[in-house]
Amino acid sequence: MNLTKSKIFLWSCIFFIIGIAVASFLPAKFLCYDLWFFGMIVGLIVIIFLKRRERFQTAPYVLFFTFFIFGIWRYSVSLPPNTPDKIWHYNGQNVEFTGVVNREPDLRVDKVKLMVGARYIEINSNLSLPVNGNVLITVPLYPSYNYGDTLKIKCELKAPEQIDDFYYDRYLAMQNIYSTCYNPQITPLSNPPLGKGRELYSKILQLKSQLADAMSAGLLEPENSLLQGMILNNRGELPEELKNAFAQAGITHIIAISGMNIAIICVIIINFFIAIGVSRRAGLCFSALILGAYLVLIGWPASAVRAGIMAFIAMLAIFLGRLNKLTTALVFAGVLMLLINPKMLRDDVGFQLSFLALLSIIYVYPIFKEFAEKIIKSETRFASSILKGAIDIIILTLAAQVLTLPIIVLNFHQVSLIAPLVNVLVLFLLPFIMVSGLIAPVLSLFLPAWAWLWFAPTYFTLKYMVWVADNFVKLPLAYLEVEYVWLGWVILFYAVAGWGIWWYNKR
Amino acid sequence: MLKIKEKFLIYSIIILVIASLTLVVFLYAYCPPEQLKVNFLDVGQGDSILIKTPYGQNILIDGGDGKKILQELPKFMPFYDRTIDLMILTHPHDDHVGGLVKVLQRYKVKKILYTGVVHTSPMYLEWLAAVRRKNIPLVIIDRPQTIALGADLRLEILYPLESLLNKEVENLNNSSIVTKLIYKENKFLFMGDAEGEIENDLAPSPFQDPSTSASLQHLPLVRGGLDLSADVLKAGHHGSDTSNSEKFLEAVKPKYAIIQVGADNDFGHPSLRVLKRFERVGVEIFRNDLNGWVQVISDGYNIKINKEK
Repeated sequence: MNLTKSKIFLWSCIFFIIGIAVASFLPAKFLCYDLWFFGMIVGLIVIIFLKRRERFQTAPYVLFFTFFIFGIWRYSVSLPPNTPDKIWHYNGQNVEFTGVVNREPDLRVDKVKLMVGARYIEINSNLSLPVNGNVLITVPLYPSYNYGDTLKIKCELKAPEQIDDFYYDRYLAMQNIYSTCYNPQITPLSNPPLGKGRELYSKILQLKSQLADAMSAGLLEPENSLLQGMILNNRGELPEELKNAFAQAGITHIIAISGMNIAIICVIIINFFIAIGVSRRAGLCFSALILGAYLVLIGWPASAVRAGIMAFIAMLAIFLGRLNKLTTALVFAGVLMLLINPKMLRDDVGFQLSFLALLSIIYVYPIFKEFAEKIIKSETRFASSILKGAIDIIILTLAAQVLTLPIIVLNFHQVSLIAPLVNVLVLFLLPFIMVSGLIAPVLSLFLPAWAWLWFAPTYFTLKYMVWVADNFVKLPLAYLEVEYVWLGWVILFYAVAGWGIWWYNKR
Repeated sequence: MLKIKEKFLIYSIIILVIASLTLVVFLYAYCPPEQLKVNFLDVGQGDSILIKTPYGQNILIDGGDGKKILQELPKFMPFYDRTIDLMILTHPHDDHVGGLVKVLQRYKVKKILYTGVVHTSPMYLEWLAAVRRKNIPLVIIDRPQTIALGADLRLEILYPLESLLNKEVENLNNSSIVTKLIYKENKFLFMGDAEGEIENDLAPSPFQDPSTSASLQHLPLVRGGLDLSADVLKAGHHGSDTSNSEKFLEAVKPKYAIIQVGADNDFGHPSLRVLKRFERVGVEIFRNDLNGWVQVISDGYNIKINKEK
């Protein structure tokens, strides 16, 4: 068996991911032996090291197995230990604790969700213990709290629970939150000076909220929350009806800061650099830098950073043109993200969707494109460039849907049939919205009285987008509701799709 | 010599420019018929009324709890108009003040009317803080008065009768500012959340003949002297049983009543008895929970009602 080095690397990564996948479905009692898994890894590494000169055929397989166990071990150490120095140890009790708001407050229409890192807990009146761990507290809109505020909180800690078929507990666990509390009594304490890093982060959040204020001064609802969702990752205030309409129309990916939005920003920047005479390679580097700066500006929320990495890979794909070579890069990026947070694999739908969408673009898009080109060649009327662009968007959205479809059905219970059409009608506007939506707030900082004028082009474009989504979902058969899907069908779907792609590439 | 294609392009550009110029001139010169539009916004459980006067003023009475006001306002105000000329907070409960907090963040508010009654909810305190931060003139309503909005349009403030500034009131609903909007011959009565006691204070009492009650002669507004008749009544307290008494309805004799209420609210509003009472008096009812937003258009003599659904 002769595997090339890159193949060995790719398969090691894949086995690591499989290890995490297996571990995330194993019951917790198997996973508490993390030391044992660690020992096993050490043993396997010793074997590989000792036998390295013998060129034995099975060495790669031992390596794969090592990575598989490594995946299980990584997942098992991410589980929360239940000791008295962790805040979730006190779930179900009425407690009084001191903590610091350690994430940007999540503003909703009628409430705010704050993530508070616990510092001390009061056991009784004269004894307080240092603790750590995060608590998600839900508070009314006012009085408002900021990142870095130190608060004394009195409430009943609750372990998050599954809500209907939504694993809220697992969703919060992914963000390292194992305790929640609702409408606590809060006493703000004087803030100790933040560290340098936190100080900087708090400054960045202030800048971001200034941008958000400029947008809300210039736009009306719901266009304002739509733009803030697209550019600043502020999605809390999006009205429920709009979210539904966008999901049914199949354009949710433009609300969330997805790989797609970010990829668009990058493509614009690259094209700009190329237009002023910079080489492709330098353009790619510059846009990566600007991408980084943009992520910093919006406070590098985990979802946007993930999207940024994916977008960068997508850009590589588009600009290098060698789609298949990118599999290793994509899988390796996935491994890096899972090393940081192994819980994403099972519980972060966003991670699954962007990963699978990119896989789809790498493998399914070329198949569709070849098929479409055959048709275009046979029919000369399709030769005009606008039509070609439209067809390209259609097959790109169709292709991206192929591998993400089961995840969408499983999680959102609806499939948009009208998605390709709606995407064609709105996607071409995204670059304009992203650019004008970033220029207008800057202009209105200088001339705030005319804010509505600076925002007018963005406003009408967004309004058109909302109109399209609102009205096209009213068409018959615009979307299908799927109440329940048997997991077996999902597995079968991926098996067939995987086989199809393999067969096509072999041909 | 230009090619036909280029000629065509130039002509179409010229036509486009002329067309848009005509449109601009037309829009500028065009005077819409003088109409008063009273929009009862669908803000869920809570009150919010946007009055657009024929003279271009925007008057906002309450803002609901704040969940929906920012999506409702753009339906009735063009995107370049971000000015509220007059904001009225009837009383400081969350389902009235919450939306006004959000309006203060987004719109330019020129003047505010309020009673000054004491309340300590965080939402109200935030509203006060925002008013102070933005330096908006806040007028305390300490007696009945009339605000002239135009030659034939006025807003009468009927209640409170005395200053409530810095007073603690047991039932805040009864501190509500009650207003009556009069446009030529059409009259609108906005009750806020005022309950039965206030209605009786305002409504003529059959047991007291104002002409014989000498002690009340110098206070013509109390018990009897007041003309409450109106074409359109914003039902008090979301159509609750504690408001909208039979005697009061007889004094108002409305043709239409609008009940600002959210679907499936926790309070059981509107009360079935009140609905029956309206029916008995022969009032046509519009409800935000069933009809969405409700728009009442008046030319001063006739009333036309549009609704969302």
